[in-house]
Amino acid sequence: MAAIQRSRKEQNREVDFSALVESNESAILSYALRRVPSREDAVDVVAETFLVAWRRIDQVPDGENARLWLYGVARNQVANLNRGELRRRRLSERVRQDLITASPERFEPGREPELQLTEALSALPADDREILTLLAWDELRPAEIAKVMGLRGPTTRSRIHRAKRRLREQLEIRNSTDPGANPAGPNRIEEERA
Amino acid sequence: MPEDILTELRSIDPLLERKIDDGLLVRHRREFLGEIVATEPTERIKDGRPAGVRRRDRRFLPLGIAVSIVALVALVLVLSGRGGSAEDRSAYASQLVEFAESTPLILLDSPGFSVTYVTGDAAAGMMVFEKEQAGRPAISAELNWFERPSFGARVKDWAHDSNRLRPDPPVLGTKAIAFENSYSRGLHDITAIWRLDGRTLEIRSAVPEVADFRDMLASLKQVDSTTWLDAMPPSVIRSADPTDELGKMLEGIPLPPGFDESDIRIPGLAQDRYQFGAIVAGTVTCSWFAYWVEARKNGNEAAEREAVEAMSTARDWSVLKEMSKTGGFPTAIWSFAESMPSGKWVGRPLEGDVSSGLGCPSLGVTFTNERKQ
Repeated sequence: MAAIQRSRKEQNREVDFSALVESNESAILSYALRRVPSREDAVDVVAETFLVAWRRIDQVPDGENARLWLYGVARNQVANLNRGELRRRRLSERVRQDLITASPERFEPGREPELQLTEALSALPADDREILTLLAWDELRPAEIAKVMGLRGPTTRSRIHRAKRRLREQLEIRNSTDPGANPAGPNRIEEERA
Repeated sequence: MPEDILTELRSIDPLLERKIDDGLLVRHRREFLGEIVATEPTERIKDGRPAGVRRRDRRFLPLGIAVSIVALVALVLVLSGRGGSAEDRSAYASQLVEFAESTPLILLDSPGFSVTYVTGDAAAGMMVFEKEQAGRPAISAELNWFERPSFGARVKDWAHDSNRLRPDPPVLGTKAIAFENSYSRGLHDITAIWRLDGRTLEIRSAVPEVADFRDMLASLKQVDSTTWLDAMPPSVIRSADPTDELGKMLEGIPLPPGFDESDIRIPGLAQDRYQFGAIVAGTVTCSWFAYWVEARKNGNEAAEREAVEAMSTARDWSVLKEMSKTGGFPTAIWSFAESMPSGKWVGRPLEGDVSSGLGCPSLGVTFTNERKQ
């Protein structure tokens, strides 16, 4: 009897995990693709994120909070990747190659205003950059960002405000040092200040 | 608060108008699950299983860890070349024999299998046997020995979530307790546990048929230390004098001004060539980056250029070329080297990632404002 119970428990675990993957794989792959240099790296981040989820399936919160929890895990995996610590090629080569092939290429900014904005964003402290990109790209709400980043609720809005301000400052620096390169830039900043 | 800045940020979303194909992993769910379930033992280490039980894919060791592992194989061969016959027992240095005798002295005596990896000591260790197969993935078997946890605790642990195989398979004159952990992609993942001389032994392999695993157990033999050492692969044996190996690895590598080879922190006993190479190439790379950081700090453009040019040769370093066949450490060095002209790594100052990625402090190389380990 005990063996049967364990088997069911294991089955339930796999069902829970499959549902978690199905509901969130697209969001987590998108998150990773936006933040790492290559599709290969993104696939590694996704694999490692769901590996952590599998190991801690009992700790994964329910509902929408599961996605936020996964964002938090993926965030750590991106950091691990950047530190060179991510265990690579967790997936079989066949799955890996399929995922890489099926994932879209990253968008490469080509116009000067976009390049300046990309540079300005890159110049921000990592947490500021993460706050802004979670807002703009992943379309998370401030309360959700607080959960992903482990911020205290009341401070989140001020952190968002500060990150925006710093981004504007960075843009201004770039516009002022090379005004000819981006005629639209200064006007844009002035509009925001108005 | 105006939201224009967020609108602008959306214009540089790397996935702008690029839709992710929903269901990518779902289509591979069975395989994906299989991959992930197969990694479960790694997690259990954190729950108290011995380090010797860790599944270690040495090809993909994290970079920082790759250069800091100190408990690797302690094999030093006195004679040049490898191996020796049973009659020349003195062929092996005493510390090599000591290391061999700290292991259970077990080999897998089955056609096609050879030892590919050994690590550990008397308290806990691991060796890997592999058999290449034409057109199919190699079969590998991982043998672990450990003093803790106890045999009983270990059996209880496996029994918790695996199915016991009956009858108990014989192994080395006793009976093992065997569990089937999973069946995935046509392979039975089986573990057998038994006691030997006060230690617990455990072998794990994924095989097409349960009978293959039983045959594997029947092929395990206890041998003397010379026979055991004879079976060690060249990758885990190197010459008695580590400076010989060091000199060969440094050939063709430009060294920073003031670099002293004796500063390379070679562990007291030998490691496999990949780990040894990671220490050597890692130390040189870290030293060049330290030189580069200092040059940039002081505005010394000539020295900065010197470092960039030196590291631009990294793709030609023979030690890295050799290591690239095994793992990702060289790729990291090459990527860091190629980022030197920009000074940035994923938008951040390069030196921080080099230091943490290569484990420079553990190699005795620190950059400005870093504390030496």
